[in-house]
Amino acid sequence: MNERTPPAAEPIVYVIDDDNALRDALSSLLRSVGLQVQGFASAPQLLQSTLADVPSCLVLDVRLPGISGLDFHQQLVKAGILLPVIFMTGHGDIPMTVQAMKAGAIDFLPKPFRDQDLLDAVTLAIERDRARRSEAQVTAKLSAHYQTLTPREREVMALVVTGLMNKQIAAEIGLSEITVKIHRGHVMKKMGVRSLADLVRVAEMLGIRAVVP
Amino acid sequence: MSQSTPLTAIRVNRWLPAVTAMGALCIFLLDALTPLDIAIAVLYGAVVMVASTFCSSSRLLAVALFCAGLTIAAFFISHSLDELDEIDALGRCMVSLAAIFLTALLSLRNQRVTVMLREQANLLALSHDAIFVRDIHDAIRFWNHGAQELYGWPPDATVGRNSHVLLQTRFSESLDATMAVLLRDGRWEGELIQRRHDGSELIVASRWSLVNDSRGRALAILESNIDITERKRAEALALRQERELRLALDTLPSLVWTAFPEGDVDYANAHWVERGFAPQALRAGWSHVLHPDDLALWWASWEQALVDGSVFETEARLRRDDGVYRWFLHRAVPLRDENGDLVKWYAASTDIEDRKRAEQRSMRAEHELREAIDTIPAMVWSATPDMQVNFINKRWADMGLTLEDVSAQNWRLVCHPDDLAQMERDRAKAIHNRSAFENTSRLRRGDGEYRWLLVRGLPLLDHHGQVLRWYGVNTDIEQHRRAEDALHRAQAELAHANRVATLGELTASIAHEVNQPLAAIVTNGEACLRWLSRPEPQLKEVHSGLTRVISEGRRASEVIRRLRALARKGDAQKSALNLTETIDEALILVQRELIRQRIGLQRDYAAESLVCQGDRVQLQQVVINLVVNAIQAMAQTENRSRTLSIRTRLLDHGQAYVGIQDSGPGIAADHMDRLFTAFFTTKGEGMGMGLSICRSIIDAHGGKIWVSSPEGEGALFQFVLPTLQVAA
Repeated sequence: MNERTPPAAEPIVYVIDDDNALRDALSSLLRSVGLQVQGFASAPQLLQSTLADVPSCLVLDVRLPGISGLDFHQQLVKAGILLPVIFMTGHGDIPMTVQAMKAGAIDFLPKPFRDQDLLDAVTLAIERDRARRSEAQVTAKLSAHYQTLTPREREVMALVVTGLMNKQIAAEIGLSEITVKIHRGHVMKKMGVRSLADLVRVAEMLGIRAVVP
Repeated sequence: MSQSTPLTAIRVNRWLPAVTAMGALCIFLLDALTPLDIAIAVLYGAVVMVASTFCSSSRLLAVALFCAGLTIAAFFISHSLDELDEIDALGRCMVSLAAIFLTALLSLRNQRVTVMLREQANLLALSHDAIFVRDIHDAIRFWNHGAQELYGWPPDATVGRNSHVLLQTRFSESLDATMAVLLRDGRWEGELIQRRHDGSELIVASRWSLVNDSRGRALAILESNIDITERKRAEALALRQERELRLALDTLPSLVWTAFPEGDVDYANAHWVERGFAPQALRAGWSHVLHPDDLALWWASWEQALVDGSVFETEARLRRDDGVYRWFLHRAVPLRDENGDLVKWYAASTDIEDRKRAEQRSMRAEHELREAIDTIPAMVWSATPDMQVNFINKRWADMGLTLEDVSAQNWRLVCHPDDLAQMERDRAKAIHNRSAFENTSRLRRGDGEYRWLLVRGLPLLDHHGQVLRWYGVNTDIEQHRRAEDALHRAQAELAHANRVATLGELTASIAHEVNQPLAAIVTNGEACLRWLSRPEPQLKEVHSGLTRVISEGRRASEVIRRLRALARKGDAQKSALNLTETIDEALILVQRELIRQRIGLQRDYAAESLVCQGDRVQLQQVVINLVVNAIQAMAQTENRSRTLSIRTRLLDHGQAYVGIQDSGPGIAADHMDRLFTAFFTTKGEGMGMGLSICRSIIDAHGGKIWVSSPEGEGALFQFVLPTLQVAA
């Protein structure tokens, strides 16, 4: 199996399966369509290795030694590793599928699966990751902008995206309507938006909620 | 004659004939040359007399004629022819001649008497008996050769001596009394004690005869003695021996008797009295003392002994004086004389009352025992040390079998051919070890039907440990066996059901085990196709992919084979198997389940290989049951690691040990006892058969299964199995 670190920007597929034969087969299949593949026999092995900062996805068995694939997925999420996951199972039971999909799995492939299904799922996952990555880049930029706001400006922003009028905001935080208007102008400028609708979308992306008393 | 009679009392001077001749010559010269007119020739009578002492009668006659011749010659020499008419001279000559012839005549007569006496004396002298003659004053006159031989005294030393003094004779009465008898009767006979020349004492049988002269006056005594010392000694010895024997016989604590050939008792020892029998009753005849019922046999035996000339032996009751009969063994041995004629019976009678009673008791006991043995509802047998059956009880007849059927030659025909080899082995082993044996075989009944019998044998040993006899019991276990077979079938079916149920519980794991290789095969195949359909087909990848396809195909078929084995329904098939490998094979089926339940598996196997005789499927079922139980026990374990430990060991006494421990909550103390019983379960949906089946499987393998629950360490199920061999 090809373990070399892939060149940057080349998508990479991580395969976790304790079954060497299947892991090799998957690797062969994925490599045959030109994908980079990195295989792991267990979940901890993956956690211990450094993951390349490229669009990638994770193909893993729902049953892994020591830990279930679903639990591992949640661990990854908690750890901030947001790899799209494709589950394989030798025994596709409905509750597990539902649970997997809810947890954000891209697909759920009962073994044996058609190659095209896996490749489609992998392609989709990598696209998803690529999109997530670009989205994450945007979010990161906005977040950086957000950091430049003063506390008062953040306060005003949170209230603005809830759709309150300047007068209402002024009353809410005990400022004059003029001052609110100035803060609002700074916010729009610092966050790089031209309309209220854009600001609302940015606030959503950043997960900003108004503290409603 | 003098030489031929060396022991005669008359001694002849060898010079006497010459002297006599000289005498005759002198007389002749005197007669012829002297002019004396006297009858000198009468002196020839003396010559004839002297000659008679050494001449035979014919020679004596010749001597007389010679002397007469000399007389006549002298007459003619001294008287010329002219003087022939001289009457005086002629008269003297005639007187002389008459004197010579008369003397010769008398001498001849005297000589005949003397010769006769001398011959008689010679006879005495030659006798081997000691004979001597003594005169009335006891002076010895004659002493023969026999006397010299007996007493050691030569005749010279004895003649003239007092015989009683010489021989120091001791009389049974006295000399005077003896002499009185002799003088009265003319003879005496008796025993005397005398001494020899060397001083030794001897006993003689003595006969005295009185020799009388013609007028009846006692002249001499002829004493003839025979040495009877040895005879007397032997007689004394015999007497003593007889006395001792009699004493011994009387003292002997057994009843001794002797009888005449026809059976009349002539002696019974003193012990008869002590034992309450009157000897006179015995002597009165056997019919007085023998039990009437035993008389016929007694006399028949006696007759037989007489005819055969053999020992008489019979058992018969004798009546004591008090009227009580007791059993005796009578044995009589015949004494025969030199002609082989029966002289006497020597016999002893032994009281066998106690033995007889014991015999009767034991016969009764034996009879009762035999009845008991025949009655007990089992086939009893006994056999020789080399296990040849020599007794069977009547129960065998129920099976239509006779002693002949189970003899050393025939028993193999009765034993079922399939059981024969094992039976032979068990018998041989028992004979070799001299130990009890047990065997289960089918024996053919008289009607041809085979029945299962439990054959058990036990040796009776002597104090050297040698087998005296084998005793055995065969029990008909046909019904039992059938029930057992049915039970086995039921158990097998239950075990199968349990396996199938367990497999059902393991569906997810099993599906994974089958799916995994199939998925690998499909994926590899698809990958190969893709490698092939690339603009530049990657054959190396295709090759390795196809290699994986083949190996995975095999893997899938292996999994299915094992599954089929477990799901198979069939009788136990025991073979030698490696216990560790067997456990590992079973674990493959539950491995996924362990993974799914996030249970860590720790295997700690014995360094030695553990080879057992067993049914692989059944033993795997035990392992799977125990592991599935462990998995289920740990399902609720959240706060600590879930671990399943499997440990195998070879124990000192050649047993294989398997321990399966979980890290679950353990087993409640009040459940421990009932854990292996059927239908006991702590699980909501459990049948309660799993552990019960485990136990019957391990039992059937000659092993043992048990459980412990160490505080805080979960449950520990353990079992041991006998191993076949130990390879390091």
